[in-house]
Amino acid sequence: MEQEKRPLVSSFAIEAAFALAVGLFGALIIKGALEFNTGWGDIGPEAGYFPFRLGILLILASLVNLGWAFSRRKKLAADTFLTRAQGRRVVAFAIPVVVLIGVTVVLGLYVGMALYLLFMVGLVGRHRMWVTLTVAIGTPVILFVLFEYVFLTPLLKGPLEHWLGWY
Amino acid sequence: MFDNLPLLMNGFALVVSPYNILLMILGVFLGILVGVLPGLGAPNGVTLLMPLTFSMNPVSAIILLTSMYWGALYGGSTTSILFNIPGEPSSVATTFDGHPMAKKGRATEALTTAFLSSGFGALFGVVMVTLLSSWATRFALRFSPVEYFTVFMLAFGSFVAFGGGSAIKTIVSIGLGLSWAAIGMDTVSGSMRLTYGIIDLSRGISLLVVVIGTYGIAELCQTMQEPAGTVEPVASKLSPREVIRAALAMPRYWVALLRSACIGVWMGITPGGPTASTFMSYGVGRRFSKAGARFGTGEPEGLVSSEVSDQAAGTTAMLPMLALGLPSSATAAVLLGGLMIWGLTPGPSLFAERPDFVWGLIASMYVSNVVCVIMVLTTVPLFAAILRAPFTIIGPLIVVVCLVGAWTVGSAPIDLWLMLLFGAIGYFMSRLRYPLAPLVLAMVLGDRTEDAFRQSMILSHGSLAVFWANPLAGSIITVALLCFAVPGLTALWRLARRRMMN
Repeated sequence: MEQEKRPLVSSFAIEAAFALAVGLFGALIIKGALEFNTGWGDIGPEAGYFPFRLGILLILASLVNLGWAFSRRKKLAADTFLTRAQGRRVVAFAIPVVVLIGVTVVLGLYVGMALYLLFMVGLVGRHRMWVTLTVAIGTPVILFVLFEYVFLTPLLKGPLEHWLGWY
Repeated sequence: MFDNLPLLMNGFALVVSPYNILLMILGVFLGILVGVLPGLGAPNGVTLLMPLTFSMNPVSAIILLTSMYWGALYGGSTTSILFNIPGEPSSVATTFDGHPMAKKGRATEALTTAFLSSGFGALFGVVMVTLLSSWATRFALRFSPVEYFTVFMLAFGSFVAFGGGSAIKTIVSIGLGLSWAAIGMDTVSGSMRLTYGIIDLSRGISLLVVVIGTYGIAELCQTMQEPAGTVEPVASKLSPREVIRAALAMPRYWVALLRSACIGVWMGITPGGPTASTFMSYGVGRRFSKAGARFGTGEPEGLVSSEVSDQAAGTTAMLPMLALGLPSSATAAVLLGGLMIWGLTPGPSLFAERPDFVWGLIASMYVSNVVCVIMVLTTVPLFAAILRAPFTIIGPLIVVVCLVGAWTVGSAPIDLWLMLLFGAIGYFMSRLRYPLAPLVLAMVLGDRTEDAFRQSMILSHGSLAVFWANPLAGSIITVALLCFAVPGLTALWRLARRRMMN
């Protein structure tokens, strides 16, 4: 129970960090807009006009949010955004997804999802062997038939499919 | 007003074919499924299915996708009532009275009341769409880029004024959506903007990938964050006798039905959207109804209030979407994106050039809502069982579905990484209460807002006074600017009053 409630990060930190990130993104947009004319041309506002002002809007809004977060610093700092246990669960969910995408780009979607399901259902979910295998093998097979033959929308394939003669 | 009747009949003739009915049933089924499952709401579900419809004929495609939308709205109420988990943002108000009713052992009554209320709301909404469509197209015909820009501003403004939550956070959401939409080719000059030399970005960022990330991956993250097994289910068996008894009790709520339907229609036509509409209807009911004092304790009338207006708003949201290209809900925004991909241009000309599409869609709304009520009542036990399946299997499967959906959008590996990035952004945004619906709306309207503004400026040789040059545009832009000002003014008012009190 103690473990469940121990705070990892406060709402204040995340509010402030997100506001800063929005501000930085606004600056990035302005930088991109400055590659073009941000004012008026022969045919009205030019390509940089809109993004430039959007960037300014984002920076101003993030400053207001930052100021708001600081004005309530005490209250927000006492408020937990994520407990350690929650953080661990989010990371345990997110990292396999990152790996899944990395593997998918190399080995293709079908193999990628089979490995991912094998890992998530079998090792993380600790389901029985036959449940794990049914989900991990059945899903790509069903999706393969659906997408390659019914919807005629080919999904990303990797070395295994190429070796088997599917492109 | 009734000159549309022959057109509607043509629409029915088109819709009532075995193929289209089958699509409808499939759409409703998938819709209920995504409505029930966490991480797969209506916007995300419609998005995932969208790429598969690119090769279909547009009428069948829109029938499939809108049926899914309706199904998701119904499915969202099921989980709200049985598990106290709103499957959709717009069914949050349904939990207030729906779940207490279910806990008291009146689950069947709650579900039946909710579904029949939804059905009533949808029917009321689609009748209004039928009656108002001629008027809406005539209204829309008077629109030049100037009026379009003012209406887009009104859409953004109404999120700021009525969205609830922090106004400045809503503005950030809109700003993020607009700037993501600006990435890629500039539609006026054709130059590549904001790509920072990354060639993959020159295609622009797909709305569909953003929706899969922010609504799908982000929502899964939130579900995963809590320890498993927090779902507290109640009995979900329906007895036919209780269904009939609840159905017979419906006319008793006729005042609530009509009141909520009118609120829903109004919020659906003006860009308020279903979520705002349910809260408004619930609030009005609590204040003005005789049963109002019992709202929140399991009062059927509270359930009726939110459900009717939810569905009425969702249905009538189709009218501004078709006539003006102005979606008033996140799902309507995704559908609008689909419309453009199918090669259809929303606007009054759509009614003239593709009456088969417009009236096919409207006719299908009558039929598919009947299909919805029947299907949702018969499949409650099935979906309740699905929700009890271990999330350690359902969760990873939803991830796989999102991944496949993101791939089919553009067959590009970068979309998979973007989905992840937007998933992370969406997670922080919803945890910090930055609203997501205005972001989706801004992404859909981004290019068109900018074009309308630039065209207006060309028309007026750079004078902003053009937005007040005629009464129509002038009144819309004034209301829009007021909307942006409302949160600031109320804050000042509160501050002033506090000073006075002291």
